[in-house]
Amino acid sequence: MNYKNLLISRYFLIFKYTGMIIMLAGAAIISPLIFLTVYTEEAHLAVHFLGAGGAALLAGALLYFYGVKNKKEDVELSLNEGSIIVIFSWIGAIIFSAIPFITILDMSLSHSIFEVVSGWTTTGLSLVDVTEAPNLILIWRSIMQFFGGAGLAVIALSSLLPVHGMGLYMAEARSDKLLPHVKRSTMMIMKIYSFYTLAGVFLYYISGMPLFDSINHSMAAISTGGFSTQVDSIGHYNNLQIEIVTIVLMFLGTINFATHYTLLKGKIKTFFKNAEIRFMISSLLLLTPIIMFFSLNVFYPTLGENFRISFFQLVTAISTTGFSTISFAGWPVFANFIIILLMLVGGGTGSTAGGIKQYRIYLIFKSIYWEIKEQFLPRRNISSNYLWRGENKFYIKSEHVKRVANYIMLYIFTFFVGVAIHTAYGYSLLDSMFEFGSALGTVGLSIGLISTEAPLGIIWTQTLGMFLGRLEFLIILYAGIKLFKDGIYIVKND
Amino acid sequence: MFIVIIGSGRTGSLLAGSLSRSGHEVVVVEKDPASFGLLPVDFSGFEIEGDAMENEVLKEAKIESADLIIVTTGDDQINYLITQMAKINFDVPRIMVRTINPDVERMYRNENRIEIFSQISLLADKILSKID
Repeated sequence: MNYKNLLISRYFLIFKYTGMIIMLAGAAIISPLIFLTVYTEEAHLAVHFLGAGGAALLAGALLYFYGVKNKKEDVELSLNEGSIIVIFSWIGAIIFSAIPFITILDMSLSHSIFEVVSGWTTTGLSLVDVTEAPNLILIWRSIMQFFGGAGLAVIALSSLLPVHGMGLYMAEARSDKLLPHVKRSTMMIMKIYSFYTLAGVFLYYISGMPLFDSINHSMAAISTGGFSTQVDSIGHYNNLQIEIVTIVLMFLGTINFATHYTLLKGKIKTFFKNAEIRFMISSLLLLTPIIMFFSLNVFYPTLGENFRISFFQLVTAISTTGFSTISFAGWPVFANFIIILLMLVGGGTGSTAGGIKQYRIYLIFKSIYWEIKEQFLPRRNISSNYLWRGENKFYIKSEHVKRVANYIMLYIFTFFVGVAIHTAYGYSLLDSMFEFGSALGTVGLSIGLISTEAPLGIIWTQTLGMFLGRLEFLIILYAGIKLFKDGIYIVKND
Repeated sequence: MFIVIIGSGRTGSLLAGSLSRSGHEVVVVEKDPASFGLLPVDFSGFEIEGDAMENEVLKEAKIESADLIIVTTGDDQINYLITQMAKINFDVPRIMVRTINPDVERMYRNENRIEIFSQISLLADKILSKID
């Protein structure tokens, strides 16, 4: 009976925090209205955003006060409760964010949810016709990516929530600590993130992009989201300087915030020792010539053009951003396969990127190397293996390797299930792998399969893929199992 | 405040949890990784695995920039050594140390900056104050 009371008061605490985060999402929905000062002709759209935002604020406030009123004792938030809060607030944010797309653009529910999930998870696959859509909708898509990149819980922790939120922080797959306090860590993340975004707006603007596009593209690049205000993405400008700025921003977005922190403190040596940085640099150095000379040299005969196009697409794939300067539909199979591989690998842990994450892949390669090496060492040899992570050496235990290997297996397994569903709808194996790899890794590159005519089954498979990929599977499993178990316990002991 | 706690036993983890909750930046150094399990779930500081009697480990814990170090291992000799290292090698402005054997208090007699907390003396004082 005691345990039941404890459980129930825990759920009231969950309500309280979820309510707070949904209120934050409501404020985010209203934020595009700032741009009304410039685009006064779109004032008639304000009511849609106010309605959606107001509904979110109201729902959040109700949950919050319901939670506060009934909470009897203070309980701690562990990872399991954190995951439930994160899942509920994400679902809440997604539902309310979809309202403007339904009411303004007259999109169907499934299509709106797809668009919004693609925004919050920083994927960038889109069903909106950007030439027709009003500016408010365009900026709202970018704002979703900006907030989704940092993570709702991180933003909430840096501003609203009290310090108890360690479980929340871990649950949103942003688990690297910058500073020895969760509040200060999240504030530092928000500072770094906002600073880069502002710098991006400035750099785009001086490279000749219109201001409105600069704001949109900068938010979408740093969050590794990839929503564009143009139909043919960054390729629209055909401007080398803009492409270079984009590449830099995508790199910044895909680097772990803890690593950024090392860099900002001026520790350049430690920065280059970092496992992920090494992995990313070496894989790009290896793959760019391969893709240039074994596949694309027929397509783009001049060396300069070949390099410019290959390198940009490789960076956009590994950083899981999803901007593109060309269309992948006509590319040779080999080049597309390399892109698929990079999309599966993805960006850095604790960054805004998706995918399996470079750290995990690097660790598995290293652990294979260590295993081979140990075979040839003397029998009584003892060695301890380490990687550089953040500022420190990180000693690897086999427990840790096991967890990473399990995650990779789970990812690959989900990937195959998704590809199977796509092929069942009659798409070719390459198209299926490309599209689902892109959705699961929250990349947003498309080979042309996703459009408003795509079957609903495909739309929902990809929506689910993006959601799973962003929140890293296990959290969703933990939350589901915990809810199920607690539900049964409470009902049984009623 | 930036606080380094040496030892994540029952005392160390209790302190670390409350300090972290009230908003301080806390780093805990502990030799036995299993002891980190004693920390509460909402502890959000750093956990450093290593022997605090090594300079390198203390450096990793950023002890140079600490405002306060709390030494709570279960061994008086180790505690004494670490307080000396913190004071002489790293010049920590404020040092708190736990002592187990009340006789050890005399070792710290001439130390400024170091505050000692002798658990047995505290206990005895508490009991004596109830008797009167």
